[in-house]
Amino acid sequence: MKSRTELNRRIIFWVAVLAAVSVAGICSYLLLVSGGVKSETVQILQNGEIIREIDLRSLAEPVDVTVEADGRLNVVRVSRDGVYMLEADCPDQICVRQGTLGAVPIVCLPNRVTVRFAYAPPSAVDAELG
Amino acid sequence: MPLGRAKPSIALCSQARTGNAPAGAEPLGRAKPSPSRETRLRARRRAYASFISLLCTVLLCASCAAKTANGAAVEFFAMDTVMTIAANGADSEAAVNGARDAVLALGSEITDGASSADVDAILSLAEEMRGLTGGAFDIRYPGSENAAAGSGFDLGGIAKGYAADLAADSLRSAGVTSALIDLGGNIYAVGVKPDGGPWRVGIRNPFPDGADSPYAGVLSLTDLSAVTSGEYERGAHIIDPGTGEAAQSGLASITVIGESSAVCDALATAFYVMGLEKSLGLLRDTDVALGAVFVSNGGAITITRGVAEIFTSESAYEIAD
Repeated sequence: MKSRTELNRRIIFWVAVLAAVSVAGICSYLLLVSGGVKSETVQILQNGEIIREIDLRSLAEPVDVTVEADGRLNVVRVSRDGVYMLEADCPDQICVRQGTLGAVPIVCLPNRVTVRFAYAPPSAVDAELG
Repeated sequence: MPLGRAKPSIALCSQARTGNAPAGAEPLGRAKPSPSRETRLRARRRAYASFISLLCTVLLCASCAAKTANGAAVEFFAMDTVMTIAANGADSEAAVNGARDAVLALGSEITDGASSADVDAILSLAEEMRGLTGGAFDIRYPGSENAAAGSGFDLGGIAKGYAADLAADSLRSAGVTSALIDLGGNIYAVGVKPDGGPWRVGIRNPFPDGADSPYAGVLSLTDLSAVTSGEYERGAHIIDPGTGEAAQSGLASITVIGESSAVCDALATAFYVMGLEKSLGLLRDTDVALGAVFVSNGGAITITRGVAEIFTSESAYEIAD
């Protein structure tokens, strides 16, 4: 019986090694195709212009950012645990229902408000010299 | 994004492979309940071990020449520097591995001081460049880097360029029409990018503090090499063969652009010794290189007419005739 336990242990070991290698590979592949590392910075845009940038790491407490433009109102809740549209006076409420911000930006189309993670901009060059 | 960024998985490659290779050679178990059972267990074990080592090998090799969005890239260490070769296209994986092997082979020929066709070609090209630059490029003066073992020559100012040419030839003969070779700052751009545009190569600003851009300028390269020489990053490493002292020509960074990376490499080193005016003169009088970008110690940028069409900069620059 002892050898069977040992065999099992060995199988588990190699499966773990395999899993680790695969995970490392997948991660670097994703990093490669995503073109950059997701930053911890959240950007809030009104009509295409960045009106507020918040580094999530700098937050001790959740912050509510109020965006008022043309008589329209949006409130974005920004915290380390997540970013979401807390309140909006738009008719469709799609942005509020979208929930927590992920890779896809939260867009309040009627009010022209966008909430997104700032991505490290893709490099303007393919290589560097010097 | 620069193609050379696939670092995490690739850098581990050689270590990981040696670490995992003996999977099939694992010593077998000790407990022997009965012969038939042992045989069965052993067979199963062997099957598992070979299956797993096969999988590991496949995975690790894949990370050696990591697939990129449009092809394959490989990163390796040779000639005291990190090198990356990235190619686009269906069969680029074998092609980048072939190019890497060519560079590695040249690297060990140089380190071993072996006599080979390539080393001979480097030596004769070096002699030609010595004549062309009036002795400003001279491998007989041993500097601090890449001295070929036992030869008394310092091939540091030309070998990487020659290696880039080798890699480019290797890729082309494998049918690659889109690739970027970066041999520790010696760049060779083969063909165009997958989007059809030229390869964009930034020349780092030697004086980045307070500058608008991290680059003194950006080159758009198609089937061209660019090599930069400068001391702001690595300290004084270019010796003036005339004086035997560290060169002081008033130039902070020199980038030479041309079809032969070896020539660009040698000229970039020589120009560092020659200074701006003599270098401009040489480029005017010959067509061994397309042109050059000079950044003076004061930060002034001067380019030659030959590269005006492929150079852009956010800073002011002068075009020399």
